[in-house]
Parts: sequence; structure tokens; C-alpha cells
Amino acid sequence: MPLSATHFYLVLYGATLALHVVFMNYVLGGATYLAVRSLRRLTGAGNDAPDPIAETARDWLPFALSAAITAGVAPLLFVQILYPRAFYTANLLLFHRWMAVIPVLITGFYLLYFLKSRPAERAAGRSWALLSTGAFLCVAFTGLSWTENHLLSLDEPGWTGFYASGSLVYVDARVWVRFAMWLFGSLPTFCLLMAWQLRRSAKHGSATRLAHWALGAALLSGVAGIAYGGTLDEKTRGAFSGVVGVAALSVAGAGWLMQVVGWIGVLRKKALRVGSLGLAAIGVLATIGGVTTVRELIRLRAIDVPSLQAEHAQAAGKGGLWVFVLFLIVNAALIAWCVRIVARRSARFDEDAGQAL
Amino acid sequence: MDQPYYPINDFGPLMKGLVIGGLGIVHVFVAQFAIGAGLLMCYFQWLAQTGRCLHARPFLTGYFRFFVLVSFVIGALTGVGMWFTSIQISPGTIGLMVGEFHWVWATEWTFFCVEFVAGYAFYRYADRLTEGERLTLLCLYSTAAWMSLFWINGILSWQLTPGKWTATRWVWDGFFNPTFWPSLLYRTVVAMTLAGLTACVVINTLTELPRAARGELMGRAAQFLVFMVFMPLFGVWYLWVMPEDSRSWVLGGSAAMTLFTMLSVGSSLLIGLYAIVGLVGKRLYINGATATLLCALAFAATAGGEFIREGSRKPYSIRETLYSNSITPAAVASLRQQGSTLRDPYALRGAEAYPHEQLRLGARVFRFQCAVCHTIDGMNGLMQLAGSWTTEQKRMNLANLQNTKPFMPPFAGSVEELEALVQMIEWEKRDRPPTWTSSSTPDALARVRVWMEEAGTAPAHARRIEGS
Repeated sequence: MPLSATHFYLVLYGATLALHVVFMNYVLGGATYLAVRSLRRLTGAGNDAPDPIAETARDWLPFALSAAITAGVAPLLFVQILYPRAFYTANLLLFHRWMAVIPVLITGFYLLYFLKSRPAERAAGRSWALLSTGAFLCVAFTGLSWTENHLLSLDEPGWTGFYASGSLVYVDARVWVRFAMWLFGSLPTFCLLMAWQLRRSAKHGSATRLAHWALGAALLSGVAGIAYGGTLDEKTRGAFSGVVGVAALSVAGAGWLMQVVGWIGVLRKKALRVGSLGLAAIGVLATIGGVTTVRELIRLRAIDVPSLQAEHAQAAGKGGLWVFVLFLIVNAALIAWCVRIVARRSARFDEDAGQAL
Repeated sequence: MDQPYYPINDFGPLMKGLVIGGLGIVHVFVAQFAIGAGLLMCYFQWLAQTGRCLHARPFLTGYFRFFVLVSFVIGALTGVGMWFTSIQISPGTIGLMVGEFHWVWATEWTFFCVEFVAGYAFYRYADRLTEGERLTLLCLYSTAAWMSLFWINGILSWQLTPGKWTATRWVWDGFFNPTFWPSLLYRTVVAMTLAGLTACVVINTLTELPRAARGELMGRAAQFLVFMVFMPLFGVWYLWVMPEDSRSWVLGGSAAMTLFTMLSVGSSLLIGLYAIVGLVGKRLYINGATATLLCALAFAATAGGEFIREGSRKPYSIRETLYSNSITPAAVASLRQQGSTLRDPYALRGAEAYPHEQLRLGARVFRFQCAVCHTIDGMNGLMQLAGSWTTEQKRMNLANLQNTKPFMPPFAGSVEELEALVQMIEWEKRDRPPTWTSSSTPDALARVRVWMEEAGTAPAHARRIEGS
């Protein structure tokens, strides 16, 4: 396929989706961590010692969810340009079941804010477990709904039957396998971002725990990924026979390996060293980039792309691209300015606090 | 013309317009509050740092917490919800809007990102920042928030008044359309009003401050309500540039639309009088209950305003481009030839309940052409609107639909489909009996054909223009 408007939108979609996935992984991974930890403590399996990972996650999860939602607007826009019919049809077929993600996510959002509050800090183990598990379930439900929506959008031959059945749940074994891949895959990203956060705040004590979580989750997501690949039919697997397919799979696989090596380094040194974390960070970026590409290659196999190319070309001809580019640059600079203000002042504040101690 | 078919859901007795309208009102209310709140916080930060108001700082802290919990959660998620709901109601409309304006939406997204970063930076680090840095972050936040209004306002106002875009199809002709400026200015004043009113609610929660201090803060916040004096000006400007037929619905032509106009104008007037005479003129102190009541009135005004905006577009969802039922004006003639449901791949749910094929066809026609605005027997139900008509009246009125009710689109199906719809309404009116004898005859179909040809395919307002 020669380079076209379709490629242009695919790149924009992929780039903005990858950004969304980084924040989404923090939310999904963080909510999972908090829920598991609180349930372990409730059953007596965990200890009561202060946990900087949980404390930091509790503090930053509302921000991360807000970031995930904001970053998610752009891919939500571009997916409507790229695959309008498939995306709209899946939305419509799932109907109330799909629309439920909004109230559920609002509930999850407020639960995350409540977890930050003083009353939640003082809450007993059972209440804490209820709150954190509730937040996790809300976030996980949203993730599961997206998985269902995505897979249903690829199943064009099944649309009319699904509609006739009146069902609001897309029952397919691939939904669970794919969701497991995403859920476990979110944890290494969460662990990595958390490691950088803890490193900055000089709380290095949790290195081993983070490494265990990241390695365990990376392994499970790898298994789920292979299992998901096994569910694909012959035609879809053909997506991986081309140059782009092989390259994307290789990048994703190499990224996964770099993460594993990076976290093993953390485990061996029992410290959050820049070298190991840097390797894991490159690995996370490579995996997200590779997996995002693979995801679209699979979709392109399922959707009649040639019929859409004319629509993409027409959309690309609409005015406003340069206004977008201009404000993208200007607003990126303004965001950098905000971050600089905060980072500079925050560093000075930490310095002063250190001297006062 | 290649008419896309999507699966259409049944919302039960609830009219689809109410679903999107309900969510839209909440979203618009919260989003406009967020925009005004940004401006208000800049003002209070300036008051604090210049020493003009000693209690501005504690107010700002309390207000920002309230703001984050409402705007960053409900505002953001109902915004996404608006997109999902638009898809549920009319994928054709949202698809066309995205196709035309995706770069505008993408530009708006870059401002969302600034809003988010500046807002959260202030939320987390305000206590560590200098006064100048605090003001910088708040100014960045509020500018980005107002700019997001600027961009979305262009798209929403285009739906009613596409202006020169109809001929040129150039995105900026559509964006800077006739209602763009009055709508933007009106919404800006609404945003400032909401900020002032919610500030009065929050001030009442600051019980650690003495009453005199709260009174002073209230006086400052009330200054934002003074801008309401411009509302009549912008409102009249908006009405002036509206299409004539749309204006006529709002100003008496449609009882429901006129009631919404009165609700919006009346509520705004009450708030404006209370704010300007009481709060600003006589420096009255209002308690939390009164402040909340004023916010509720503002919500009612917003609801009325949004219904006017949605309803005055009828029979279109995008003026002169797409009818409410997602059929383009250009497609009506061909759908009359080919039929509107022949290529619809989605089966009729509960088809076994219909005694014969003609009724099933009628139900499919209802689903494709009517269900976006009507129900069978619920809100805006066909039984209430057309159930009492005689069979012949139904045939004639549906064939001549755009002239029977000028805010309705022309019937966009074959003669047989129209007759099937008539039979389906009759059958529903008789409580869905298990057997049904159709009253269709070749003569009746011939009469329907003549009426449809006489009515033509143009909407009512186009015929009026031709006539004049």
C-alpha cells in the first residue's frame, strides 16, 4: 500500500494512543496494586509496614486517571476518522453496556480521590480493602469494556446476529485473554513509573517489591500475549508476515526482553539504579510502540481498508491541519513552561525542607 | 447515494433527544462553570497578591478543591460521555462533524492538555509557588479553558448556521458562522455567572471566616454577575442571525420551544435582578441555601438554552446538510425510489410480534426514519401525535410531512413504506392485535403517490423561500 492519508492518520492515532496507554497503564496497574495489597493485608498475608508504593500510588492515581482521560481524547477522535463504521457499530451494539463506562468511571474516579482523603487514611483494613477494590473494579470494568468494544468492532460478520440477539455482552474467549494481556501488561509500566517517582523522592526501599511485581506481570502478560496470538485465525496471522508486521513484533518482543533484563538488574542490585531503570524504560516504550502497531495491523486485516482510503483522503483535505500543528507546538511549549515552574520550585522546596531537618 | 446503516437501539419510553439533552445540559453546565471559575480564580489570586482582599487566599484554596472535584471529574467524563451518546443517538451526525472539524477538535485537545497540566500543577504545588507563579498557572489554565470554549463553540454553532460553508465547504467558513460570536460571548457571560454563583456557595462553607469577611468575598464574587447585563444584547444578536424558521419556533411557533425560551430568559432574569440589585447594589449577604437555589436557577436557564439550541435546528441536525434522522436532503429523492429499508441489514427485534410482513416493514421504517426523535407510545410518541388521525389523514399528513409539521423532514421512503408505516401506527393504536387485516388498496397507494409528488422532497423552509 503506497503512503497515503490512511498512513498519516494511523501514525497520529498510534502516537496519541501510545501516550494514552502510558497513563492508562499507571491507573490500571496502580489500582491493581492497591487492591491486591489491601486484600492481602485483610487476609493476613501482607504486613502492616508502611508501603511507599501504595502511598505514592494513592497520591497520584487521580492525577494519572485525569491524564489518561485527557490523553485519550485524541485517539478517540482519530479512531472515528480511521474506522468510523466499525467503531460506531460496536458502540451501538453494546448500547447500555458500553455507556455504563461513564458512570462507572466517575465512581472509580471519586473512589480514587476518596482514597487520598484523611477519612480514608484512618479507615480500617476492611473499609480500605472495599474502597481500593471498588476503584480497581471500576477501572478494570472500563478496560474490559474497551476490549469488548474493540473485538466486536473487528467482527463484522457477527454484527447483524449480535444485534438480532439483543445481547449487550460480547461473549468471546478472546475478550478475557486479551484483557488479561492488557491488565498484566499495565503493571510493568506502573512499576517503572513508580520506580522513577520513588527514586526522585529518595525512597529506594521498595526496589525488590517493584521488581517482583514487574517481572511477574511481564511474564504473565507475555503468556497471555502468546495465548491471544493463538486465538487469531490464519488470515489475521498473515498480518505478521510482512516487513512491518515482523518489525513490530520484533520491537515489542525486544522491548519485553529489555524490561525483563532491566528489572533483573534492579533485583540483583536491590536498588533503583538509573541504568536498569533506563533499560526498562526503553523496553516499555518499545513494547507499547510495537504492541500498538501490531494491534492496528490485526485491525487492518479485519477491516475493508481500501474502501476507507478515499474517506481518509477526503478528511485529510479538510482545513485546519496547520492550525492544529501551530497550537500543538505553542501548547507543548506552555506545558513545558508549567512543568518547569513546578519542577524548579519543587526542587527548591525539597532543598529547603532538607536543610530545615 | 450510499446511505450507511447502523444498528438502531430502542430507548424504551425515553426519547433519544432527552438522553443526549440531559447529559448535554450537565456537561455544558459543568464545562461553563470550569471556564468561569478559571477567570474568577485569576481575579481572586490577583486580589490576594496585591493585598486588596485579605481573605482571597483561603477562599481560593477552598474553591479550587471544589473545582477540581467537580470539573476535573464530572466535566472531563461527561465530555467523553457526550461523544459516546452522540454516537448512540446519531452516528451519521457525529461522523460528519468529526470528518469536517477533526482538526478543530484536535486543536481543542491541545488546549485540554494545557488546562489539565496547569490545573494540576496549581492543585498539587500552589503552596510552594510564588504569587506570580500562582497567577501564571491560573492565567494559563483559564486561557486554555476559554479557548476550548472558543473551538467547540464554532462547531456547535455551525450545526445551526453553517453560513457560507454550505457553498464553499471550507472549514473556516463553517467555523466562523453567523451565530459564532453571539454564541461565544453569551456563553462567556454564562460561564462568569456560574463562577460567581458557585463562589457564593463555596464562601458559605468557609465557616472559619467571620461573616464580614465572607460578605466581602461575596461582594467580590458578585462582580462577575454584573456582566449579565450584556446577556439580552447577545441573546437578541443570536436570535437576529438565526434562520428565520428556527427563530419562529423559539418565539411562539412551537409551544415547547417557546416555553424553553421563557424558562431560560425567566431564570436568567431572576438571577440577574437578584445579583445586580441585591448582591451588587444593596450588598446583600446570601446564605448557602439561597446561593444553591440561584445555582439551580442557572441550571434551569442552561437547560432551557440547550434545548433551544438543539430544538431550533429542526428538521436538521446540521442545517441544510443532514436531517435529524441522518438522511441527507439529497438522498430523499433516491430513497423514495428505492425504499429506505431495503438495504438495512439489521433484523427487526421482536419481529414475531407483528402479524404480517407489512407491519414489520412499517416497524423498520419507523426505526430508520422516526426513532431518533419519536417513540411509539412514550415521550413524543406517535400514538399521541398521530394516533387519532383517520387512516386517510395519516397517509396524507405523512406524505406531506414537511408541510404538515414544518420542523419535520420530508418522508424519505417509498410509497409502500409510507403505507406500511400508516398500517403499523393503526395496529399499535389498536393495542397490537394478534391478527391484522391491512386496509391498503391500490387506490390508496396511488393517492399517497400523488400526495408525495405534490409535497416534493424539499423541506418546508425551502418551499417558503421559493414562494416568497
